[in-house]
Amino acid sequence: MRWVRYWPAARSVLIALVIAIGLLDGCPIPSNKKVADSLVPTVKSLRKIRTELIRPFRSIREAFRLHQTWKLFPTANLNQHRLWVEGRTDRKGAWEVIYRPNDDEHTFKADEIEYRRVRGAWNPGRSPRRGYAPFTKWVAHEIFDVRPDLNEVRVRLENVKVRPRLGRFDSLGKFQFERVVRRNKREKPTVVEPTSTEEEVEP
Amino acid sequence: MKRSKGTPASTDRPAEGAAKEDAAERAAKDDTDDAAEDAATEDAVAHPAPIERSTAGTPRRRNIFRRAPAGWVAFWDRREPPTTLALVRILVAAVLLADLLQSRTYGLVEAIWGPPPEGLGWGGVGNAASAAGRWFGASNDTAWLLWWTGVISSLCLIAGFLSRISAVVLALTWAQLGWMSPDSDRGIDFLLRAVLMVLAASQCHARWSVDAWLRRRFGRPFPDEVPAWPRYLLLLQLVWVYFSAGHNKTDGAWGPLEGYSALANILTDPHFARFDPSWIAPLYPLLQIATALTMVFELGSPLMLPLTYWSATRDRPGFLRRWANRLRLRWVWIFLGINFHIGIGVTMRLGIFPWGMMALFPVLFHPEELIRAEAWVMAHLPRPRSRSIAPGSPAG
Repeated sequence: MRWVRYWPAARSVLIALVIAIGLLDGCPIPSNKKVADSLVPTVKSLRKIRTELIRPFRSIREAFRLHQTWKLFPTANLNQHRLWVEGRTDRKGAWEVIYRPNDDEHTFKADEIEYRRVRGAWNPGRSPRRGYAPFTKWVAHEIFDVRPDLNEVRVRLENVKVRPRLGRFDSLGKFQFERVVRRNKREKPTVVEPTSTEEEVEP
Repeated sequence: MKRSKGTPASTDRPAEGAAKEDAAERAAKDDTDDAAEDAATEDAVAHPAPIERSTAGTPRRRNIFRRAPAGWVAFWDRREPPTTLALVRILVAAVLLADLLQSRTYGLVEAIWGPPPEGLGWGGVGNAASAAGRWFGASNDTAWLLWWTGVISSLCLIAGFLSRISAVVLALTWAQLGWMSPDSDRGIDFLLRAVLMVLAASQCHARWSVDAWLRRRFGRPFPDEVPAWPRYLLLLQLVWVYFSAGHNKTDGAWGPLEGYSALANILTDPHFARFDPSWIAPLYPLLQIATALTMVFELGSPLMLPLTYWSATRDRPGFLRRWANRLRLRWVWIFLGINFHIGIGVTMRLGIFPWGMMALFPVLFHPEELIRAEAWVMAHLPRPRSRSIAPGSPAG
């Protein structure tokens, strides 16, 4: 078969193409804010050229959801956030902390909330993520299911400053991205009935 | 095994025989000078001869522009035992399966991939909905459909059953899971999808697989050696991930300007820290060293390419090759990487990230190293007692 003879050469060309596209996609072109004003047009042109060169392969990129820019903790700021999940019985009641990361006394659904895929929704970057609002609703309903006494759930992010030399983080006294979810009035609190088994056990 | 000068590593050798035969056949058939020259070029790439000098003393080198393409083709046509790729196939699929099972164990399948308002799967609704959202509708049923498809295809990939199809289906499913819930799709998911695509194009199922067993049963076993290019490509991918992560670390805390404080800062961040940060203060200087080593590890990752090459051709001459092998720099880099991932795996809540990265580490080893390791493990595994009659018994 004639084509078999040319396959190694064709394959090596394809591999070269894959490597070139990957490098092009991952090539670090700085954002406009990070370069001098005089370089902004150059940076814009470079970005445009890259977009045009990658365009023919966009369908593969989207079907498999790929990219070649890798960021692992690019920033390690001292200013961070801490999630607070709280609940209360009514509008006049005091808020009760239900979950906070790194707090052994408030661990409601800690494994679930800290699972990497869920954290992706509530751990903010520069701004809250789009999944933040659905997350607050999900966590509120999880709480309403097991705490019939609570009718409001508040989710917010506390501004904290990490102090690794002191081995702690301190609150800056400010909160951001606050959302309150109220129990739907049509949705009645679950009443836990005593089971018949328990009654039978009684002497 | 002692190799002659200019010959590639024993297990990484190209399919040089086939290439030479092909080219020679071409030369005979076409009887053209070009084909004969191609054959000679390929021969020269496979067995580069020492530079001959003419009587005038000028080196008779071939034109590099003619040699380089042939060398490129020959490099990507190399063969090696399938052990490495089979191991990567099993480890990557196991990590992905573990992640899916973890989401199920926590009861989060509908919460993560279900549609809003209570699910995080906002990518499945609206005008720009994902393909799964458009085809099957954004619902909890779709979330379960994708989850089960992921579980079944990862199980098939671990077992090496319909491996290529399983790898493509798993990559597409993983992509749809990502599109359905973009906030839950992290860097490691992007990386493992790319790895799955390379595995799908490889013969990673030539060992430790149902496919290989079936082919043996039907009398068409896989060859002992399979194309090595998928391993080379995965090695490049791994090196690029670390290098890209290194040069994207623009924060001063990763450098001397802020005293290499990055790791200590991250480990004090309540969203990622696994333990109370009180342990960090006494170990702060060690964490500064760890931060500096992390940067050395990531920005130095491109050096893994020459280090791996020098290690595979250790019999050849060269000052750098000799010292890199003597100082075991390749092993130092691998050791740093394993420590780096185990360290963050223990101290931080990062999910599958450290394990997914380490699932790719077999590509850093030469196939013969893995084969030796396998032989060592097999020799030290407890064997079932044989039924043979003990010596000294009446029948013995």
